[in-house]
Amino acid sequence: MSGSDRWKRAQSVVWRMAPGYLALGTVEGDVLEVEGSGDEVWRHLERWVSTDELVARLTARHGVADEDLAAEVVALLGELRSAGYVEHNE
Amino acid sequence: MSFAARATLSTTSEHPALVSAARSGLVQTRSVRLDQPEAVAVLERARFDHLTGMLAAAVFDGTVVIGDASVRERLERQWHDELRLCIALESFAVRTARMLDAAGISWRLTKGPAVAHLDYGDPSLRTFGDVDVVIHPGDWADAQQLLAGYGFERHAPTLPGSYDSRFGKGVTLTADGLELDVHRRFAVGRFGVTTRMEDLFATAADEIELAGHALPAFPPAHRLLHACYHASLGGFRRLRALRDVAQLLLVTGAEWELTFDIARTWKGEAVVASAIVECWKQLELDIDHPAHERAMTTTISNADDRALRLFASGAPFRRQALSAVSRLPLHQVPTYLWILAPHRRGRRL
Repeated sequence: MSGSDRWKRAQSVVWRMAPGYLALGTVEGDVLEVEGSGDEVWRHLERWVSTDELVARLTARHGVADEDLAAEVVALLGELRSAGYVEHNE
Repeated sequence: MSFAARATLSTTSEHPALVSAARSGLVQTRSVRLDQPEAVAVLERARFDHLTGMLAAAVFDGTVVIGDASVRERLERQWHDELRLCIALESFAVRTARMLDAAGISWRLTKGPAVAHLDYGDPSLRTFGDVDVVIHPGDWADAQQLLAGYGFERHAPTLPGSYDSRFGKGVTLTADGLELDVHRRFAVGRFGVTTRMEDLFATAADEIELAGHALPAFPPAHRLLHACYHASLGGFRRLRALRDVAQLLLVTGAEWELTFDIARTWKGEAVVASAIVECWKQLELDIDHPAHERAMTTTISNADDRALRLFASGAPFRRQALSAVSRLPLHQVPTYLWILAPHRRGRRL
């Protein structure tokens, strides 16, 4: 994955967010729960956004070092992608 | 003899923290502390009444103060558990919608997921424990057959004489461990047999989109109508049911005059008036609203008042059902009594 890869919520997903909590589900009934800042990441995925832009937005909000945050975001996006919860455009 | 609507039907008083939660986001509320030992019971009550999201929001905005960190953590876990169930139920709703739509059944999503998405800015605040749908009367039999064919199971006994379709409120079905309430009417008994549900299908549906699938829901005035029927006739009055009424009136801005108009043609004006009066009382709303004025001045007959009290007391099914007798055409009364009679000798319903 590169910083220019773009991401967006998959259309076929149901979800709920609470502070520090995100729950995602498929129509078939699979559910994935994400604790931590997953809800913030999900908020930014309403429209296509690149990895770099996503990290920049979260960094601006939290003031965390880019490398640490970028690694966490990329790991989360990879997990969401493999479960089919996000669309990915290289 | 009759009198204006009064808010005297409730027999339970709720903890101030739950009242604050149910008012959260509607009006300014003074801060309330929630401490042990009552905190655990309050959280259980919130779970039972699907008020957990609103209680959590009230804690976040400081309206409810919980000093004990373990109670805050328990509330957070409980909220997350309920959100996970909402996700499972919405997936279930989409699967059910696909079945109904493919068969050409006319239906509407109602209550839980419908109001959570259409009436609350954040659906996470409005949790729910099942999926509710209303089936067009003309499609009732086909829908039952269809759902049974897909493996939906009915656990409560079926009454004879086509009770469900002729007089009943509906049936509760389960599939995949989840519950689907299939409504034929908004209520059983006196206020149910005079409803004409087909009226509600003459108006274009609202829609909510879940997982890319558009699900039909009632427009606001009809959602308010169902919320009022549920708040007045759904058993012991609960704060969340009353919050839905307030939300539809004060936030969504539902056309309440239309709600009253439909209720009047259904002989259910007392149901709507009672729900609104009770809403203002239980949520301690000090807000001038024409719907509340209308409700306060609605005349309720003694017979309607007795029926409302019966439902508010959580009376058994048979007593609720028998409240319909005086509203039925004379020629239907013997059949109706015959249908309900076996339960005097058998199971207690």
